[in-house]
Amino acid sequence: MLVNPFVIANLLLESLLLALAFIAFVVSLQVLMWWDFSKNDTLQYRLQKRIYLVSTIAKYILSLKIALFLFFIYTLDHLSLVLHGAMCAVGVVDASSYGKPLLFLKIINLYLFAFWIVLNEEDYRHAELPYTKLKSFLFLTVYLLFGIELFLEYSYFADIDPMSLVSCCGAVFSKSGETVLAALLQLPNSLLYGSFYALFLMLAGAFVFRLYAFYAAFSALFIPVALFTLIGYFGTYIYELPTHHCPFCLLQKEYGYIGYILYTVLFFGTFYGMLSGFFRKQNYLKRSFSFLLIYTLLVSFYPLWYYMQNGKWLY
Amino acid sequence: MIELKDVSKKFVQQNREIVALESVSLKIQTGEVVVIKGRSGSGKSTLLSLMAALAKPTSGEVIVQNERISRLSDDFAAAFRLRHIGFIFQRYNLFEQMSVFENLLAPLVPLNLPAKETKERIKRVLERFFIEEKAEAKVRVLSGGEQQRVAIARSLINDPSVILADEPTANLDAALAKEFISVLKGLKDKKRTIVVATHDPLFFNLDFVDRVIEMEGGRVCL
Amino acid sequence: MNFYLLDFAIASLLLEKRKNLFVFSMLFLVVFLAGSFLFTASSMRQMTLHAADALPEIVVQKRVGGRLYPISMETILPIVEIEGVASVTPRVWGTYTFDAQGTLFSVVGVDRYDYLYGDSLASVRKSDKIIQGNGVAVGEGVYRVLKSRFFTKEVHLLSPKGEMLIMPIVTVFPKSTALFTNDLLVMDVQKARKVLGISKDEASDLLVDVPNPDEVDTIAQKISLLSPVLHVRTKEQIRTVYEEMFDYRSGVFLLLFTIVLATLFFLTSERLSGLSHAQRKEIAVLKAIGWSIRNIISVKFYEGFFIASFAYFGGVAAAFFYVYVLQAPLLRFVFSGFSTVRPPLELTFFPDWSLLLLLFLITVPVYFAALIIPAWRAAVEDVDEVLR
Ligand SMILES: Nc1ncnc2c1ncn2[C@@H]1O[C@H](COP(=O)(O)OP(=O)(O)OP(=O)(O)O)[C@@H](O)[C@H]1O
Ligand SMILES: [Mg+2]
Repeated sequence: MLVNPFVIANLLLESLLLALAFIAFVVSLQVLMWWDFSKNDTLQYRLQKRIYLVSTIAKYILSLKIALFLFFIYTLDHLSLVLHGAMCAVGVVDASSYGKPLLFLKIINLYLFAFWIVLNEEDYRHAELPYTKLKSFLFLTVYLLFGIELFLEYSYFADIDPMSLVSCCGAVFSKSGETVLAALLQLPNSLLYGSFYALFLMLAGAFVFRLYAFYAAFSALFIPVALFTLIGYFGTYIYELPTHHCPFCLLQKEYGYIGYILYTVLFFGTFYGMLSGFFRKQNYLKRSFSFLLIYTLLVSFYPLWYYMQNGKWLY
Repeated sequence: MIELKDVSKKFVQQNREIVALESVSLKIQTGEVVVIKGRSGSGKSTLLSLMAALAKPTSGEVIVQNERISRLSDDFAAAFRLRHIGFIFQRYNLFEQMSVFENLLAPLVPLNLPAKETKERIKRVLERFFIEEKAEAKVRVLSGGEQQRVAIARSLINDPSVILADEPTANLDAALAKEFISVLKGLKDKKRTIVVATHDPLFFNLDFVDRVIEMEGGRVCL
Repeated sequence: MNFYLLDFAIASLLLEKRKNLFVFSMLFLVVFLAGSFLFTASSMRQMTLHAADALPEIVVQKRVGGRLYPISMETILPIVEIEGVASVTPRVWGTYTFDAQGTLFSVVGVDRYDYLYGDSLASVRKSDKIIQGNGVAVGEGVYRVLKSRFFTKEVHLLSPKGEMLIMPIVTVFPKSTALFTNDLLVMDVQKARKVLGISKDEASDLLVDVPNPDEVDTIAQKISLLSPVLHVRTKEQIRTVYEEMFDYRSGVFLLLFTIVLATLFFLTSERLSGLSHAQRKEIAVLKAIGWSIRNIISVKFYEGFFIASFAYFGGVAAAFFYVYVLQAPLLRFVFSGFSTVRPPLELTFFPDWSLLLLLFLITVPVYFAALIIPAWRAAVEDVDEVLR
């Protein structure tokens, strides 16, 4: 077990959030069972009041969860100072088998909570609260996933042995080895950035012609493609090292904390993109495309800058 | 226009059902001035709160300005009040420890207008009710008449089409009550719909009152 | 951001001055408590890490069954022969129990060529006074203890063989070096051997100088392979141990602190729950003039935001003052123990912004969590009361 103020703070806050979420969970259950907007009895009246509690709690949770996610990453980065052999957060994530599923689930939950908030806003935009049942159902799901997340987080921190040696990012994200990731990293560069720009062009097309469903699907696809190409190609230009494949080092000070910006922009871009498929609103479409455009410009900047400086490509 | 269709409102208190309104049907035309009288507990205030979408009927429909307000979510009900309803309470219900300006600001807050327009609107009602020089004064130091003008100004600042007044003259001396009535008359001339719930006899034989409705035990007497 | 809402929030805060003052003081106190602890811990940690910088790359000790023994001088030879090792220096030092109360001094032996105790002893190293005069240099804390026993000119020490050694005090280390020198007695190495009972062909430990930092780990490994009794620690390891020690203490503190946080949560929530008649009326009037439930919840959060920022920044400022200006009276004992001669070191400020973030995250969200349910309750309250 790691006893560390950052770790304890993470666990403490997540537990607090889960406890609050429990209240919202119970109300969501009640809504699912008894909600009927056409009725006017005391029960409906009470439920209509209670859903405001759910939305207040959910908003509180989301805003803290965004902060906590960044804090979690920061904690991992901090732990890389304590654990032997870790250079950045990768080694820390890898220090326990719970690390990767935990990180994955955290990201999923962030998307889901954000989606819940938007659904909630859309719900209030209609006089008859049409999405109330849907959002209650979604909340149940999110609550369960959140519970699993917290369980994983406890297990993860309990599992890390502060004395053991962990691997550094060079080992985890290397081209050799038999993992899927290694296989992907072995793909030729042209294929990596080719697929990235091709996907972006398709997104742009879907944006111009307002093809909501396609746009949403492409944005979902954009998440893995952007991440792989960031690790495999664009990242190497940020580090200016052809062998450095790491999604975490770019969160560090040496690279101007660019990672925090890239991931935030990517998150909002893909989030609004998927949202536009659900609600078919130009508003979301425009917001999404602006974010993804910024992301694409940002990652493209590094190779171009390198070429302008050195007159040749990195490899 | 205000229309109530077979409206009932029940409260449950200590496992006992209290019927505040029982199948009330009522139609009030735009520009009409209606006085509702009746004994204490006859359901006057309940009726007004239903018309203002502050409460929902247990059964029946309430339609105001073509909106079925008995079917609105809270956000929409609030937006409806903001646009259409001006409420004048017994004893004014002003925020005593705040300034006149802040009191007038209150109904504008949910609109989140640009600062300039907000100030503009407040200035306009301040002038209309002759309280400009009191704008920064705390309400509690104002005289009774000034307080009344602030209360009326507050309820009219969003230019509502329906004005609801609950016992507006209950604690007023004769002069202030007269002044209030003259304000109502002015509103009537502007084609506002006005509903006054009161047992003050002063209202029963005014020339501009179109109808006096009597309530008893939650029912409208015909 | 609706600024009018903020304006209203402030106005309604003033409506309930006493209640809000109570809530503010609670949060303020909690921020102050946690802040003082974290700042003290961080400051101590940074100073210790700073001190660790002066350490040699590798320290070799003899350890059998978990206990330390003097190490034989013969061990030096095989270590020097390892490639990459520049030099090996034997050190003589240890603890000396001064009196029946168990007051402990650290005895350190130096000789003319000694250069590996770090910069802190620079002033001593330069003057050969100690060695020539057979005297001792003592730390501030040691001197205080001696003075209380009326020894102001010389020190009387008893060797394990029962021999009484009397040495004149030649210098007292300046206060500014207290972190390293407070409990020190520095004397000629031969004298130190006598005081500590270490024979001529033994040393307390060996310092290994490795010029290339990349080779440290491999060399450390090679040394520990020489003999199973050799205990090898690198500077990096010692640093990590320090880091862990402070992390551990702060972590345990935070665990205990949850009790305080729970109290904060329940007291705040309880205080905010009881709505006064004036508040009830205010909310009802607001609703009647067009505010929605969500507007009212927002205004409650704006109120909370207001209180929280004042309490947080106020608490941080107060903790700063307590730790860095007043030097954390009482609290520092948690870290340094109650031993009479532990360093009265000066707590200095090391900027560490993550600490402010940590402090924020463990206090303010708890307050807001306590606010949610009362705010919601107030907002959905039925309004018909005021209309009568
Ligand atoms: N929130 C409530 N809970 C329980 N009973 C209520 C509630 N509001 C009103 N009532 C009851 O409903 C009935 C009608 O009340 P209402 O306030 O409408 O009367 P009113 O005609 O306005 O009386 P008054 O002239 O005294 O103001 C009363 O019997 C009252 O006790
Ligand atoms: Mg009444």
